Amino acid sequence: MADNHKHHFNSFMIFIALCVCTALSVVFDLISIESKVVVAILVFSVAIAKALFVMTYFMHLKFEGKWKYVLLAPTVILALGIPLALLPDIGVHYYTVDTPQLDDHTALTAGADGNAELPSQETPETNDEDDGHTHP
Amino acid sequence: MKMGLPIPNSKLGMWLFLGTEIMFFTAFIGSYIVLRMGSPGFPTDPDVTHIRIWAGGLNTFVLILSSYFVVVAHEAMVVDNYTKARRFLIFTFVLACLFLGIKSIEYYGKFSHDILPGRVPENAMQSVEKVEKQFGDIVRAEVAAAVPDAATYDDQLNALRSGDQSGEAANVLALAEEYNHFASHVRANLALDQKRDEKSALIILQDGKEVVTKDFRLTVARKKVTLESGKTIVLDAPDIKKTKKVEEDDEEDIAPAGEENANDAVEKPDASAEKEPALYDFTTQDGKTYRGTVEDVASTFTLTFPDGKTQEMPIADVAEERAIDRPELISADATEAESKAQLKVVEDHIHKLTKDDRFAGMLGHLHLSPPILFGNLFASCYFIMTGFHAIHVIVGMILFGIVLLQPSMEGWGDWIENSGLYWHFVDLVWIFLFPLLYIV
Repeated sequence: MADNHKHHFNSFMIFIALCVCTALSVVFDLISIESKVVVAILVFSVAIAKALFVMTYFMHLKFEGKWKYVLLAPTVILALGIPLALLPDIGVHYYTVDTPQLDDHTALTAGADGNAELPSQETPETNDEDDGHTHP
Repeated sequence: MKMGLPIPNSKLGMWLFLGTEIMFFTAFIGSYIVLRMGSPGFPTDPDVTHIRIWAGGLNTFVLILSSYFVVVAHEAMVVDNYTKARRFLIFTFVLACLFLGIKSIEYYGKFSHDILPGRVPENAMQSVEKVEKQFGDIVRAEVAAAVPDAATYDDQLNALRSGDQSGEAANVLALAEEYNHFASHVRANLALDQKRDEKSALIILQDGKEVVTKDFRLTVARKKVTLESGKTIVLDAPDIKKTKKVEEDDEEDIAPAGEENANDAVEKPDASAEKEPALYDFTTQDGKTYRGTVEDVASTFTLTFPDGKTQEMPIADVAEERAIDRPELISADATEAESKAQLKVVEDHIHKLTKDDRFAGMLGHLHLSPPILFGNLFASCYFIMTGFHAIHVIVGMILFGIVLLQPSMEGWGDWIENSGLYWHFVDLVWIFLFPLLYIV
């Protein structure tokens, strides 16, 4: 443990950096950015920066030996298992999803008053005219 | 020779544990992202989700500050400044309490608005169904309280109808009648929307009770057979294995007694009345054969309810059967404007009832919950992620609590370092939950 503390860093500055990042996230939410994708990219960039600050300094990974790669690389790869397994069917499908909620949603977005909200823009476009079920 | 990694075993253990934790939370967070990508129209409006960015932002700050305090406490331990270390660990502990306090305010909002897995209506129909169920639960409880000595709801209601119609009992009865009226119409509409080609009907029984069915069918259930000897026997339709019309030159199979015959009998009751009664051979399931003329006797209504249950009812019990008109409330192909207008009708009706002096105190906060598309998926993801995170916060508090209970902190450096690593990880998870749940 003592070895780590030969590597001194200004923890207060890291704390300030983290606070600034958090404030930035809130600002990105409050200023009205049209595209949800842009907001997502901005806030996740900030989140990754914060995570790197915490891991590098607060968790001392900067000062640890090469073992950190051996230990963390496999877990990170395995952690992606479930999201990657779900992605093709749940997240990115070429076919039009047929669920009661979405039927209603289609009815809502076709509503007469024009205030209906369109599907989230991060959602991959699905082609309504494409009867995906008949594809191989 | 030195074996293994150049770090203390406890620290290696903590990092291995954190490795499993990375997998655990990445599964949640990653799945949430994927589910959101696959759910166009996922709720993000704070007025709908009751997600408060001030709460999330404040909690982010609280955790960052607590992480910083752990670092300060650890640095103090390294230079044997136990007093300072203890002080900053206490600050950390207090901040953890503050985090949970803010979290519980948020959870309270979710519970009070019923934004809970499996309880969020996702379309107009479900909104009406939900308020109908809540209304029914209230009425059944009130009726049961008013007539404690009757066993079933129907008995309780009958006792109310025939009893002293004054005071509180009269109000409870009035509420029950309001509910029956409301439920009849709601169920009729639900039934119609589920399958429009089915014969939904309002059946009014002899005792005045109204029953809404999704489908009803008149069934001629029994056959009275007059034998050639003049003797009569009654055969239940299911007992008849085979029916053969006796022709002079040919024997023709006819359909067994069933729906078609029943409908014919209803629609054309006089069609064969003036003809010579036809002669049939009946073979029963146990192999006996009878020859004679046939007459349908006991007819029943088979009622199919919106929930799929069926009930046989003697025709004599039914006073009137009315076809149900077009849905008054919600229809599946309604546009948004129509849906909203129809929901408003229900909402106003419920609102009017809650303001009615007779029902004061009985209906409580009964109201129509507006539909939230993918609201249940949202609630499930929200609670599983923030719930597991909160459990981790509590575990961290226990780790800090243990060391704070020690009279001297000397020798607890490794413990604090490893607890600190754990606490930073808890902070790390929140760093990703905050933008995911509160911003995007």
